Amino acid sequence: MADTVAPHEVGGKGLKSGALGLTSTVVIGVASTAPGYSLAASLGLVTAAVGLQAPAIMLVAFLPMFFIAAAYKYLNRADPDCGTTFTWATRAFGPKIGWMGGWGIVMADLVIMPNLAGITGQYFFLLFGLDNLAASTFWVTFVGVIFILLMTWICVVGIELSARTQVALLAAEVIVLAIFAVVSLFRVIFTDVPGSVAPALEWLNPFAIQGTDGASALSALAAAVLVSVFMYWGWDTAVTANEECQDSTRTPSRAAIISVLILVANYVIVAIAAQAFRGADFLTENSDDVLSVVGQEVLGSGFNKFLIIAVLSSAAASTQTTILPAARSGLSMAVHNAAPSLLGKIHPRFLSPSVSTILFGVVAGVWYVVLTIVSENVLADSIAAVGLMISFYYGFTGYACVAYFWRYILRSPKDFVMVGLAPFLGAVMLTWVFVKSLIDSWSPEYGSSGAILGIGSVAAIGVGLLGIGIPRMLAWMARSPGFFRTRSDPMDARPSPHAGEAPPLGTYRKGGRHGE
Amino acid sequence: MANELIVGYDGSACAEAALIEAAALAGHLGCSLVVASAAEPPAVLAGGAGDQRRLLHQRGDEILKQAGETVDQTGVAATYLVVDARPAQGLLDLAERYDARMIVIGTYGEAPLVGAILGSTPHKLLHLSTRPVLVVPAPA
Repeated sequence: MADTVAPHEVGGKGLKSGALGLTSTVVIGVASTAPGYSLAASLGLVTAAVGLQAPAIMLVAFLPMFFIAAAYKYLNRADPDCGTTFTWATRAFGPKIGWMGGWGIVMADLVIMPNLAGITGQYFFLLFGLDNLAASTFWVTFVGVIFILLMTWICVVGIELSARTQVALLAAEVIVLAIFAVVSLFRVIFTDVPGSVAPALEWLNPFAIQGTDGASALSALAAAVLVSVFMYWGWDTAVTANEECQDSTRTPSRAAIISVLILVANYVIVAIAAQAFRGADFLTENSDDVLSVVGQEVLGSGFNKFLIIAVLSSAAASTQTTILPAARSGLSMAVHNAAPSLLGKIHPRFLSPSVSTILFGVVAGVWYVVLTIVSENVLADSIAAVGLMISFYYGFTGYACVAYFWRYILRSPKDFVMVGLAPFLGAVMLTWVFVKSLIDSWSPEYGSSGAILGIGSVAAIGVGLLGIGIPRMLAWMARSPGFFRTRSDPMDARPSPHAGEAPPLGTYRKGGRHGE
Repeated sequence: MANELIVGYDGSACAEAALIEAAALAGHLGCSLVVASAAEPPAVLAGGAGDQRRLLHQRGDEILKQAGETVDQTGVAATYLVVDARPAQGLLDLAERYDARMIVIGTYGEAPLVGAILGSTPHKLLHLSTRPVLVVPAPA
């Protein structure tokens, strides 16, 4: 007989293709941060702020990210699917703050797009030895915009590199960086390289940080951490992907630790190798294409192509991991009625959130062109501004974790440290970086970047884009108040950080469960 | 003991043709159907994919409801599954799990462009499957 009432087995057990082994989880953690591209985009900006103490910053900046990763881990258990600050902050603090958290994510993704596109444009021309085109703002922007549109299209169609290809690409990237570091250090130590600086243990000492150009040590620290926060951005994905691991008790934490060690070691060693070869000022002067310039001197122009290819592939992968979460945040907000329902549309053929992906790609392209016209230093501005955004929404996530699991924090010393103290410390550090950098960058003379409306352009971009969110939210509230009747999860309905899931977002409404 | 036919179904006209053929065959052979709608889950690499996955499952359920209406008219017994995997791999795993008699699929489905770039599902199945694969052409 017909058996149509049989329950549809959703995500049939044993068929879960997302099951990840140790290697894949490590790869996801490292690849999400795109080490080659991150170094190319930001190493020169870190040396601009703290000179030879850049390696120390790589160590310091990791701390808040490590602490916030704990918040991601536990919030992801309570609401394992969505995994965005939007839903978590709504559950912990209510719909308005949740909405702003979601806005913060999308804006962070938007702000970094010009940088990805700019680096890609430049390194694309450098790959073919067209150095004069790489220096032309018009042509770099031209290639960059095409790159954004191409990557958007790829995300819509849903073409993804297989896990094996990703492992191969990442391995190549890390090996090229390692060769660069070894050759550079070998030549500095054993041969006579003009302008080189002997590596010193002092470079790893964060307390030796001094401001350059008369900036205070604290301002320099904040500015450098702001940039380095960007370098570690994305590592939390390894923590959130944990639930899909094959052996979910041991694999995740081991993978997180291994990927951290690879990342920190990579950044510290490459920073040491790069600044030892020609000194910190050389990196600062060439901050736009630091790896290609130093690589050329260290490796010679032939082998340097590998370094350029590593940066390019890393930037392409990074673009995909920027467009996807932005589109998914838009989709999430639309599904919960916090944004126009059109954004929640899944393309019938490609099965991707096509409308929000295309919207994001087009806005990112326009934003890139506008920023090129307005800003004097697009690459530096976009990195510092995205640091502000990341500090904002990661900070949010840290506070959300403490607030959400409040009643469980005192249950055991381990929970107190991992669920309470660590996320809180991470959030406080990021808040400090956010506030301090905002105050410093408010001045039109800040950094190399010029001013918008009499305010330093980094602060203007950061405050401007976050600030636009408030009227956008109020307008949406007036049009469609449904989502804003959601209330934060009642204390007694919140699951423990170790077991259980919270009921779907929107279960609890203002004025009782039947308020809607 | 090899008593199931696995049918890949994505709601397209081609899949409908495959489903009708499979139901007729199942009637003759005394087999039952396992109708599967497979969609690749969103990449974990970028995070935040939960709502997208949920929408995909909803869509899978709707597609299978449509399949159910077709199968109901034939009186063949059927199970319906939404599978979280790329179609080819999902159908192969499912055939393995049921120790199925054969896999039945349409020549092309809802996403011909993806098929053109990445290789079509029937093509992969024909190469990789260790059991019979029946490929049903689109209705003229």
